[in-house]
Amino acid sequence: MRTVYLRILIFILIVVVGDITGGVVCRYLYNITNDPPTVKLKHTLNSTNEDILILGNSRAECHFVSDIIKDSTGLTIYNCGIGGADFLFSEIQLKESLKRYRPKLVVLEASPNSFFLVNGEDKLKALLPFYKRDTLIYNALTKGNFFEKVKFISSIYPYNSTIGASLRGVFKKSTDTLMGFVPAFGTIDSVHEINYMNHHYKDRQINESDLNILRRIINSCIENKIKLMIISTPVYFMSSNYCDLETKIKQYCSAYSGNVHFFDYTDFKKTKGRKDLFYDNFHLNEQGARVFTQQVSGDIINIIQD
Amino acid sequence: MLFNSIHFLFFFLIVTSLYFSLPHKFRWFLLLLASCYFYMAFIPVYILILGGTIIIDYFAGIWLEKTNGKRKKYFLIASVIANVGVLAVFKYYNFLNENLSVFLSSFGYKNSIPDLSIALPIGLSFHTFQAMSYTIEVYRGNQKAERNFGIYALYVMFYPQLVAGPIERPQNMLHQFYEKHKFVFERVVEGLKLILWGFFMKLVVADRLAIYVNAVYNNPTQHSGLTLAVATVFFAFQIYCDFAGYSNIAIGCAKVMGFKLMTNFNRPYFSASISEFWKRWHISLSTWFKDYLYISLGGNKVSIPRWYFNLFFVFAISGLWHGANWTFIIWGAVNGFYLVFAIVSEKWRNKFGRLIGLNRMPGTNKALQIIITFLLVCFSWIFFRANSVQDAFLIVNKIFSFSGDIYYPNFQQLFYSISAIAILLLIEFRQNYYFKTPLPFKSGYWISEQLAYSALLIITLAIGVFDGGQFIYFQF
Repeated sequence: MRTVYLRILIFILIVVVGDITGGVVCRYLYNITNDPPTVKLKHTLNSTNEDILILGNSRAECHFVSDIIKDSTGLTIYNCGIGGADFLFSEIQLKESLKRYRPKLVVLEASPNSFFLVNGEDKLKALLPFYKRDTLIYNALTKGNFFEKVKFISSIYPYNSTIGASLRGVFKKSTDTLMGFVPAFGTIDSVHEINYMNHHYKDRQINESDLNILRRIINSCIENKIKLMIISTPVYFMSSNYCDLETKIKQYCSAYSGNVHFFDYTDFKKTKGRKDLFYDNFHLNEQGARVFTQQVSGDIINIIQD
Repeated sequence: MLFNSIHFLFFFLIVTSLYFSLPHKFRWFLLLLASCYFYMAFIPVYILILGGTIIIDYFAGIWLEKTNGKRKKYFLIASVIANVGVLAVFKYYNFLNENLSVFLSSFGYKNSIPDLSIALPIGLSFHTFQAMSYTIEVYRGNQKAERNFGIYALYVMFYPQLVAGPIERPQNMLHQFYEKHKFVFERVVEGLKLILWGFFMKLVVADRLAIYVNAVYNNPTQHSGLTLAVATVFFAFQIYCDFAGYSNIAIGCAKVMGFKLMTNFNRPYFSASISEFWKRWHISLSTWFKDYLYISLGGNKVSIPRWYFNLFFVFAISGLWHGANWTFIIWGAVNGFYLVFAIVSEKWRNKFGRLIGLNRMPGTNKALQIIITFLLVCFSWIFFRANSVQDAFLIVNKIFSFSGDIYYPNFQQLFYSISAIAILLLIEFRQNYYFKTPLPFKSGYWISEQLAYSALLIITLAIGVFDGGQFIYFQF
């Protein structure tokens, strides 16, 4: 019987030591990696200090050309947009930044498709390495579920699925010269996209819990006296239900006054019907993003000078 | 309750601890309660359906044993109709109704029978087939009718194999519930090793590959032939690891408590022919169809055309067993065709092999056979995975156009997917050709084995997909 206990003990010891060692190695690699998405995420959570922060999902990431805004306003800027990030993700990014400083302006991309992200919850898993940082992050990851909390006993689990990117990034040089902007290259296949819009947005309704998070972001900016621009960026084709959803968001945001400003560019004239400016239905390509950002820069200047 | 959830780990720990703590006479009751809880974690009310079929088959078993002649046959037919009836209502009703609508509309009529909007009870096809094997075996006189209702209910509901098999036979299972299982350390460890291997297959291989496969197969029009070919190969490994992973966890859980479930997978992708593949893939279902349908139809002891028909028919039905969709029926039919073709073409294939000198290179010959078998199986998987028959033919068409770029969402996904397949193949190669055991590692040195299992656990934690992905076969 003694041998049995000894064997169990040795196996547990090997697993614990392996897990701790693996966790330390993964953490080290995660900290030193220059993998672009990881670098961007670490910057948005650890070290933003820019005057203007852009928040949102891939539509924020691809639509706001940081260089153009920087040059036209003379202010520092970082595009914190992350593909697949939902409002909760943006709220976490804002909250982490507010722990360090108060940006002059926050630009939040909020259009109907921000409410129906397919992988929103999956994207939150990118925050696993930061689970100890804040209760908002911890709760977002565990959702109060005991069985989810148990997983954090492991040291390696918070770095689940990061090792590939971390390893690859170790051998790269840091190249975040676009200040978070990620251009999309290519042009739209309109037939497929129109079918998708008609099908995908049929009978969709805005979720109350997402609206609550949006409300918390707005209130956070109001409390901290930060100017907030909520922008709905261009789409190539809008189905009728998409337009209705857009109107609801507009009505909701317009109820706020003072430092909160809503801009609806869904049907932006300079990009409307221009296949050459769209990557897909929801994303402008690099050229389209430049056209759009030129326009938005003017609005930003007006808000800042206001 | 999913096997790949922390909830299940706690459940398993508690049930196993209680199992070994309780006196033998109470153990079956504990397992029955635990199995009810396990099943009710999905849709609680469906336990009534399961309970209904258990009651019918329990009494059918007793009556089958007591009666003879035509009456005996009628009891069997009634029991089979009751079981198949439940399947027909929950699984096939809407499919039949849809096809009836299409049929009637081609003659200008409208089908006014409404569809049913009910969810499919989880693992319905598995426990129905297990229950049917009991009544058939009692009818054939190979098994005595079980008098203890609780034990019979446990035979149908035993939680490790309740929702996705292995589909057991009463001769293998029922007596095990009466045996007293002691806590044997080596057996418990072996069971736990099998569970760990199952988790690796599910979380590291199947769920990782599912990300790529779903992205491609849910939008086949948007992807090139090359991408669809890669996704099909990935799906071959996904479905294998999903199902074999489940089976390993089920067999491992049962083994920890001292129960021996039948082997369900025996490294099928190392098969050198389609017929060998079906002896290694989902063995409990293949043997079920062989024992209860193929042989009942006459098997190969009939005229040659009838033999071919038997093979083809059994495989088409096995396709239908998987799901109420034409894609599954075509998948079954394709496999039936493979088997018939293999028999018909055997002579000239051997002749061709001799002609090009393959018979003088047995190693190369075997490797070629394995690759060809794998490719044929992959082709049939297209029909199994495609969302519709139209999608399946579109995918086949695109794949054979041999064109386009490969879809490459990000480096990580591809890196993890290929690494997972490589680890799997390496381990299975050693299992298949060296130590012939269901366990992934075997070494003369205790410590090196422990290191290997620890590494497996750590790899699972590091690159496994923990999104609680459903097992594919649960839907059947």
